[in-house]
This record gives sequence, structure tokens and C-alpha cells, in this order.
Amino acid sequence: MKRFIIDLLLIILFFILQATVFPMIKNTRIIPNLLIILVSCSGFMQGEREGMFVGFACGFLLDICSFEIFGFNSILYMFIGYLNGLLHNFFYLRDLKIPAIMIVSSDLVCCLFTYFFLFLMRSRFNFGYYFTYIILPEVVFTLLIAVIFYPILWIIEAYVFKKKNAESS
Amino acid sequence: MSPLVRRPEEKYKLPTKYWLLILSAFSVILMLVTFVFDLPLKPLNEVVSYTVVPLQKGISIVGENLYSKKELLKQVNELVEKNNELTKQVNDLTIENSKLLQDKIELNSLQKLYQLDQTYSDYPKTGARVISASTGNWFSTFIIDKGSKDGLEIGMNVLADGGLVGRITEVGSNWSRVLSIIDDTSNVSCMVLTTNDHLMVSGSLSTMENGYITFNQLSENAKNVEVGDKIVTSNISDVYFPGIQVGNISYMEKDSNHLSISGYITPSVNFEHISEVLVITKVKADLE
Repeated sequence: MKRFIIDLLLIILFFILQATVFPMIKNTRIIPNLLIILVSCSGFMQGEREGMFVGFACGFLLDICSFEIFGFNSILYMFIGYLNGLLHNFFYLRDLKIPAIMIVSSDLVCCLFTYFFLFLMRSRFNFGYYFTYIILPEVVFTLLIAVIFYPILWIIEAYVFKKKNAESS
Repeated sequence: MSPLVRRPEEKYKLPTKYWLLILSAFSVILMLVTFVFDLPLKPLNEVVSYTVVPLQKGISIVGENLYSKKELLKQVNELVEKNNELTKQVNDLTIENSKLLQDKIELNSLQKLYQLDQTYSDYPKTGARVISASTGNWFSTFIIDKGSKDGLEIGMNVLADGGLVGRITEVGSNWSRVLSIIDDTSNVSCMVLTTNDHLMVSGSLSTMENGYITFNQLSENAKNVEVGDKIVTSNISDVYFPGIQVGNISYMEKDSNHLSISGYITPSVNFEHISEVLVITKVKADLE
């Protein structure tokens, strides 16, 4: 129950940060993908079950607020959360390399799927442009932001839920 | 006790794989429903109306206040300078205005003859605040803080700074989603103001980096069209009211088929800084 409430609050918080706060303070046109940080981390920290549910909830919110094809983000984010959860066994709280790789690859997968299904299918073939000007800046920005948000999620995981791994590492 | 027997106090949970399957099927069904059959998802929209939208409204109001305070300090000096400049301009414009007024009287009498007296400035409009941008970098949609409770409907035109911003594509009870004309999937039927040649204006993610949207299907016979000409929405469009300003042509070239001309348009609305918009509270289909 505690987990459900905290997850729900985190999803809403991250969503509002991404949709309302970041566009307000941005100087460039690129905004980071905060929800992918949350989905990736909750999969990685809590296992595939939680990752899947958090991913589905995030994708669902995105679908309602931004997309024509309802369900595209739900299914994409759900699988990203689930696949991150499969690496739950490698979760050592002090290690930062694996989560960084996970977040980057999740964001990359998310962008590539979006490009493939929503742009390539409408004959936008200029992949080089979209990769250098949209995908790459977003991934880098997301990684930079993750440096701030990962410790917050880490603290919630380690102290609120008293994760056993926290002591063992 | 054998390890195979489940302990009675443990609650049964549906295995994760089944959940994955169920939720995937659910998403696929939703995709089919919205994409193939194009049905609106009213009840789902209401989820957002009561969770996220109130929070976003609050935050955008607070954020705007903070931003405007900061800007206020910065702008005082600029304003003094600008004031001098503008007083000079006012003088020039008063002269021009009186000239235009005469033209307008003439225009009114002519329009009465043609019974064409309704321009878009006469349509009923309502203001709305932008509370959320699109949640990724791929699409240019945004959410405004008025919905079906305020009488908004799908297909209504959205304006800002006197230019066209886009149209409403989805309505919740207290929010609606606006598809802007710079979105990669948007197409608007337009015409050149001076010559009435029709063309199609399409949003484009790749040219928006430089502040342009693209146009195409301008007939090769449109000889009098020049760079800098004003583009307005066409009277044959089935969603947009005629005569709303879209932008100016900034580049044009003949297509390789030698039948049509395409190029770039600079939109007249600054899409980087939209915080308030005007919605025309009429749908074009109702008028006809």
C-alpha cells in the first residue's frame, strides 16, 4: 500500500515536471525524458512487476495527454519497465554505471521506436537529422538530469523500503 | 510441511507474465479502437481532468508570476527606450490610420454589397491559458485549461497574437489538447492573401529548428506570388475559418515535376513563448 501511494505520487510529480515545469524553464527546444528515468529506475530497483506497472501508468498518462494513437506509449513504457526489471538481480545500490547504462539505453529505445513508428511510417526518411537534433540531445540531457534524480529515488528505495541490498553492498 | 504447499497466509498474486499479457492486449485494443475506428475515449480523458490538470494549472500560474516578476525588473529600462521609439511611431501611425479609416468605410460599403461582412475578428472568442507543453520532443501539441465545461469542442480554431496556432483535437471536461500548425502531422489548407492561390501548409519537425514550416502544392501558374507574401487560411478548408493569418513566405522553389511550387513559411505566431491563446467558440461545420 505504501509502495502504491509513493509510486503514484512519483509518477504524477515526474509527469508534471516534464510537461509543465521543464518547458517553462527550458532555454533550448529539447526537454529531457523524466518519465523514462522513473520507469527505468523502478524496474531496476524494484523488479519486473513494479517496473511493468509503473511503466504502464506513465505510458498511459502520456497517451492521454499527448498522442493520437492511444496505447502506443503504454505498451512501449510497460515493456521498458519490464525489461529493466529483469536486471533487478544486478542491483547494487552503490553502483552507478549499470543504472546510467540502463537509463540511456531505455531512452534510446523509446526514441527509436517513436521515430520508427510515428515518423518513418509517414515517410520521414532523414534519420541522420532526427538522430543528431532530437534523439541525441534528449538522451544526453536525460542522463544529466538522471544524475540529480537517481539519488532521490535511491534514498526512497533504501530508507523508506529498507532494501536488504542496501546493507549488503 | 512440503515446500510445494503454499502457506495459507500468503495472498495469491497473478504472475507478472500474465499481467504483461493482459496489459499488452489492453493497449493493443486501445490502439485499434483509436487508430482504426477513430473513437473518442471520453472516460479516460476524465482521469486526467481530476488528477493532473488541477496541479498543472496551479504550477503554471505560479511559474508565470515568478517569470513576470523577473522580467519586470529587466524590462523597465527597455521600456523607457521603447516608449520614446513608440511615441514616434504613434505619430506616423495616426496619419496612416486616418487614411486606412477612409479605406475601411469604403470597404464596409462594398462588403455590404457582397454580404461578406463577417471576418474572423467578429467570431466569439474565449481566452485560455496553456498549462502543459507536449511531453516529448517529437510533437508540438499542448494542453489548455478550458474544456467541454466552457463550451469547447473538437475542431475549434485556436489563435494567438492575431495568427493561427492550431485546432482542438481532444476535449476533457476542464482541459483540451491543441494540435499546433507546426506539428509534424498537421496540414492546413491556405491561400496567398494577394492572389488567392491555394496551397497546403504542413508543419515539419526538421525545418522548425530554423523557425520555418513548409508549404507545397502551390500551382506553377501562380506567377505573381513572391517571397514575403502573406499566407492566410483558405476558404475551402473544412476546419479552419477563412482569412486567419498563418505567416509569410520566406523561401520558394519549383518542384522537380515542374507542376508545383513548394517552400518555407515563417509563422506569424511565436511558438516558443505561447502562454495564452484565444479559442474561436464556433466550429466551421456549424456555420454551413
